[in-house]
Amino acid sequence: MENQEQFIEALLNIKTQRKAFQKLVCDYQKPLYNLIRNIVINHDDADDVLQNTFVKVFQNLQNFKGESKLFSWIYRIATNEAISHLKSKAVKYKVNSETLNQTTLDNLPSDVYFDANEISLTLQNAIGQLPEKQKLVFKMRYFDELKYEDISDILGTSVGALKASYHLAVKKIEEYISKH
Amino acid sequence: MKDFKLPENPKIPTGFKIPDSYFDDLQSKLDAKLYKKESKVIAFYNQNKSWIYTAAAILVVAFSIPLATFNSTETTKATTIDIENYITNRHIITEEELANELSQADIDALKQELLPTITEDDILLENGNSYDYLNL
Repeated sequence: MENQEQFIEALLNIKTQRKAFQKLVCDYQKPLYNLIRNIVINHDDADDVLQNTFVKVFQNLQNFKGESKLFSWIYRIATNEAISHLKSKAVKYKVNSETLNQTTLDNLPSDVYFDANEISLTLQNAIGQLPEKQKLVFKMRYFDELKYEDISDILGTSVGALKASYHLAVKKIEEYISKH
Repeated sequence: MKDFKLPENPKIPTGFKIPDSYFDDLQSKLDAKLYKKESKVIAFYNQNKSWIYTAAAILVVAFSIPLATFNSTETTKATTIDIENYITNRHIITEEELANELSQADIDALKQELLPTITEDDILLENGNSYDYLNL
């Protein structure tokens, strides 16, 4: 986004805030939806989380210090919202995270908003076997095509650790796909 | 599938589909959540401020009336009882106290009322022959 400082000023100015926020929603809605959907898998969950993310961004604009990029700040909120949503859902259904994840993957072939081709389904199942951190790093890098530096800003993890996580994740996925 | 290598294969899609026109409605959903709710709250406080004060004043008056009535009734009752007790328990009223309570008009009225009686009594007492006085 060009001239981030001016855009942030517009977001913080009460007179220009509404228009600026509409632009922010327009610019971020698709990439954020994809990021969230890759984490929560289900469309309805992604819809809830996306709306909550924008509401939180709006409510916390005054707290944005400008120390990180606006993009990283928004992506961090979205990631945290998605993870919190999954935790709340697990508590609601009285299951642990792994069981919830497996149930979601089991329901995937019948999901109307999932193109049930074999390789995509196999990949989703392969990702489902990964530890949480590797899962997150792999999705951000492989599907969302984020740079390691950006993922580092979002997750607060060093670039080196992220590269290691991604490398391990790729190895496990390759192994899984080779077996299935 | 043997020795599958991710970098050597075409990128695998997520397989996720998005409902048609999902993003067309998103902005309006957010507007409803962000602005409608906010403006409602502000409007209620600012535009109905006078109504809030009016309602508060009415409530204060409404609660004050029974309290005021209750208090004033009690005061009257207490005063009456006090007077009754005073009169009941006060056996002797001195002449001085009685005189203090009388106005000049009361004294004159009493004089007019008592004077003929006093005169007749005096005459009767002073003159032994009452028949003379009565012209009998």
